[in-house]
Amino acid sequence: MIRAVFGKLVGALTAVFGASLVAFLFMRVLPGNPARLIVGPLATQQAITEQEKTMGLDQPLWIQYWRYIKGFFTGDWGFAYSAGETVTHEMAVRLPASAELGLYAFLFAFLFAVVLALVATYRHRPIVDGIIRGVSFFGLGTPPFWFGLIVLLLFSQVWHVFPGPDGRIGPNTTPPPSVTSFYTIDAIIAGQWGTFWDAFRHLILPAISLGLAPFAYLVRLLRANLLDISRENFIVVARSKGLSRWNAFEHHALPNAFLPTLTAGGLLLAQLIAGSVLVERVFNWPGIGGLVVDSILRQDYAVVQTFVLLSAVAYVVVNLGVDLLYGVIDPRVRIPVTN
Amino acid sequence: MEAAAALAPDNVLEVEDLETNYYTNEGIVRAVRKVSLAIERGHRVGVVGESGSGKSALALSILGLIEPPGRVAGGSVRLNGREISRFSDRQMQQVRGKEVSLVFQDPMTALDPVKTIGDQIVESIRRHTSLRRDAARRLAVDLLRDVEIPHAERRLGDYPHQYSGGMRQRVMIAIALANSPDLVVADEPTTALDVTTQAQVLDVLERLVTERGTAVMLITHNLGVVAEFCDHVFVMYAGRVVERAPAEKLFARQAHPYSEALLESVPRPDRLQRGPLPTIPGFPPSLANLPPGCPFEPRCPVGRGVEVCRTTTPVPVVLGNGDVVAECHFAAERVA
Amino acid sequence: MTAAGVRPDAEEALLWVDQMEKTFSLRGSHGEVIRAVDGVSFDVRRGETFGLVGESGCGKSTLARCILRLIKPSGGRAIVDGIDLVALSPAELRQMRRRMQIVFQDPYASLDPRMTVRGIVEEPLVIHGIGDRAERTERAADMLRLVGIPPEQMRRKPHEFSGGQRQRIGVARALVLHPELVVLDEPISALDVSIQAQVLNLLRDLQQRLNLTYLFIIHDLSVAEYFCDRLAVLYLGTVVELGDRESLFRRPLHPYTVSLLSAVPIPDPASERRRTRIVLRGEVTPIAGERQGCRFKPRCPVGRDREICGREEPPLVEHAPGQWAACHFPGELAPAQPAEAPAA
Repeated sequence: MIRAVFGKLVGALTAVFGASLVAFLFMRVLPGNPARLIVGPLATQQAITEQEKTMGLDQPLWIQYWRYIKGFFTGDWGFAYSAGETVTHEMAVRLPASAELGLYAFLFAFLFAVVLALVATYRHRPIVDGIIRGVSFFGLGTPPFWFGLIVLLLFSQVWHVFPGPDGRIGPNTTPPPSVTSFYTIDAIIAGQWGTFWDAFRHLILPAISLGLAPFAYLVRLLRANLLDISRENFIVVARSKGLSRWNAFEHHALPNAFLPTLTAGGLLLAQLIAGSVLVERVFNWPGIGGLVVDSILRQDYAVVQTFVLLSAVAYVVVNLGVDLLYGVIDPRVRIPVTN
Repeated sequence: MEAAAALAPDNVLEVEDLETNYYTNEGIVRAVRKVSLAIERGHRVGVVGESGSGKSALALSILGLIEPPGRVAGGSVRLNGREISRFSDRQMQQVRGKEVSLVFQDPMTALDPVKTIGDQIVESIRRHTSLRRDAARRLAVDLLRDVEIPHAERRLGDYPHQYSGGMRQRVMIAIALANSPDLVVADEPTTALDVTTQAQVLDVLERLVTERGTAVMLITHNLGVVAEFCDHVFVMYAGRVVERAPAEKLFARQAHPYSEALLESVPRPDRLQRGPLPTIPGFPPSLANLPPGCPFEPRCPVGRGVEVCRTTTPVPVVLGNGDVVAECHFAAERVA
Repeated sequence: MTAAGVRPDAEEALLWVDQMEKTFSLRGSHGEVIRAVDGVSFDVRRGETFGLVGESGCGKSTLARCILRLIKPSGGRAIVDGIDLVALSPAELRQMRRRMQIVFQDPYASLDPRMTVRGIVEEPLVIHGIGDRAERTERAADMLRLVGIPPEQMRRKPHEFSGGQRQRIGVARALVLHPELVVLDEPISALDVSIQAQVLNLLRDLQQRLNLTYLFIIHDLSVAEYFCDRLAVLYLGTVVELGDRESLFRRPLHPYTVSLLSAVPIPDPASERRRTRIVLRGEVTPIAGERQGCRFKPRCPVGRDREICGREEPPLVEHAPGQWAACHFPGELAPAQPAEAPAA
């Protein structure tokens, strides 16, 4: 068991380093010179060279890479020239916003998917199949930003149910004292229920928009798994003991169907945490999506490299978590066949 | 009818004109076509048939476990004198696992892979008794010992994948007999098992049902198992019981050509056989499009091409002392 | 000097298996191995049907795959028509494959559902570059006709056929190259009883017509007794008894063989009630790590409490002409039933 965990850790680290290398080289392969972009089109050659020196671009590639990696682990993530702040500062401000949005998007997607899949499978009717298929097509085929615009229009401007696109909280609310940088969680910790409610209301529309596609994907996956499992012999056996249909379903079918859905869910979560540019733009969400796009356009190496590395770490951590979770909850993995 | 009740056998199960259909895109599949049978208390009955005979559908119909697109379309099922074919699922939940239980085929997939063996036995016990967890667990350990699982106490906490196929099947038997039901329906309980494992499983089953006086409906295509285990035999073909007889009589002389052909096509080491095996040509008919007349006619060594067999459905003919019934136009002549 | 279980003139045999071994190492456990095949030797003459009988875990499928070099054996040799398969180069082995083919157990899984029947049966010809398109189709059609599938149905896909028909297609595929040796891995176990008889008759007919030699892997003893000329009974990777059909079924020497035979239910209630069964208790556990003594001892009615059985592994010895058994007390356990049922 220990060997398996160790192997996974090594794999994880390799993945992270691989990603960092790719990001590093990719940025440098792009045409153009970031130093020139910063000092402007009218600068002299000397000014450009000076700037390059400040940015450390005159050093050989491997030294630059080493400084990048070393900096990442010591917390020195460089300077974001496009924003005029250190990368650490920018990340600290913007990353939690995206992460919180991603988390809620995932929660909504997952909850709705579970409920819909359960309803659909428990009483299996062809019309429900049609509904699910329709919902899936819609969810997977609709651009999230377009959907965001529509719900924003309807729920905010027309029906005034939810707040407009003014960011994470309304203009009259102050953010709660920062513990996790997640407004909703921090508000609960501080006991500020009003703030919590405001933050939550601001989260709903963008989270639903962002979670639409993952929801469509998950509902199909979960339903397929549930359908397969409910036809298995052990469900018939469970019923033959006198268990009610619901009991057999909830007690035996669900746990078995969830397992394969875990892996897909983990991947989706990692993806969502990494942020979505367009949805963030629609809702004026102060996340890292916008920052990263700008940085790519301006060849702001430090931001992009750090972002890639952070995303890689997020993916790897989530996947590792799912793997280990499997090892805990699936007895076939936990206890190898000793017979 | 009631006056004769005192002389009538004590039947734990009575099935009359049972019909089960599956409504599919390809048409209506008539899996069970007006089947009638009875099982006396404590008796062991074999239901013999191949794929497409309707035997599994019969088992599930008795237990009320036919799911859409299937449906019990008619007939009656009386268990311990009570008419259960019209029971709601809620009512059946009281019956299943308590008065009638199921031993299913394929022990590999018949147990929940993520629950312990103990949990799955206890589940059956606590469903029908008011025993507390620890009492139920103790009973479960006893049951495991009964079915010859070594180190029963320790193995209660194991998962199905840690058991071998034979052990899993014996656990199924333990679960089925946990509440001492009056009838056990065993659907191909040993088909997936090795021959020595099969012997052990049947041995265990025999001991337990004898101790408890449980009746058994053993569904199988293995004629040897039937000969060894069952007192009575029902031979099914295309959704009907084409012959019913006490085991000794059936194996000595078969009234229905299908029963005879089936027995002939199995290699027997106790007979010196070296030439080609007598076979039944063709294959079983599709239950969605049954031709008129006898369903076995196209393959029947006796009736193929015969006018009456092709056009008229045979009616059950009572033979012998009244304990042999066969559905064949030529049944009477064959055993005369 | 040939190994035990092999007849003296094995060099003329079509197939000669010499001390075949296959070990699998267990993942993540300190050097523990499972000896799936632990020194098996036998010979098969041209035109014979040789049966490998045993239950799950005995290694018969692994053995067959080792013989055909579908998996790499850990030791031993398989000699086909005087040619040592182990010593062949990949190209030479490929050539040899034309002479030895296999029919698999599961007619539902062993045919590619996306290919037409024609494609399936022609594939071996394509792989070995035999003939042009027209010739291949003709050969495939001939073979299908031979197994009882009308060639007009060549364009259909496997799912349009029944289990028995699919198995016939599998046989056609195996025979289209006109091999000499055919391995049949439980070819009828997944079929209905009445279909089993059909396929067995077909196999017998084809054997006579095409002069085939069969290596027949089977767990159903009734079928084995009916179909095979000579048999080897396998237990946990070794041969515990080997001999011709007559001797093995009438005068079995090894307690496992006797138990196996007694466990087979006979479709005759009268004789069933008469005989007493030997029911083997306990589980078959694959050997991992070192072992002492006879591998059948834990379950053996004869040797369970005998000291020598726990100390020394019994060698395979020819106890009767043409009949080998690996037992310290061969013949002690009497068969539990009369040798022949009285005439009905």
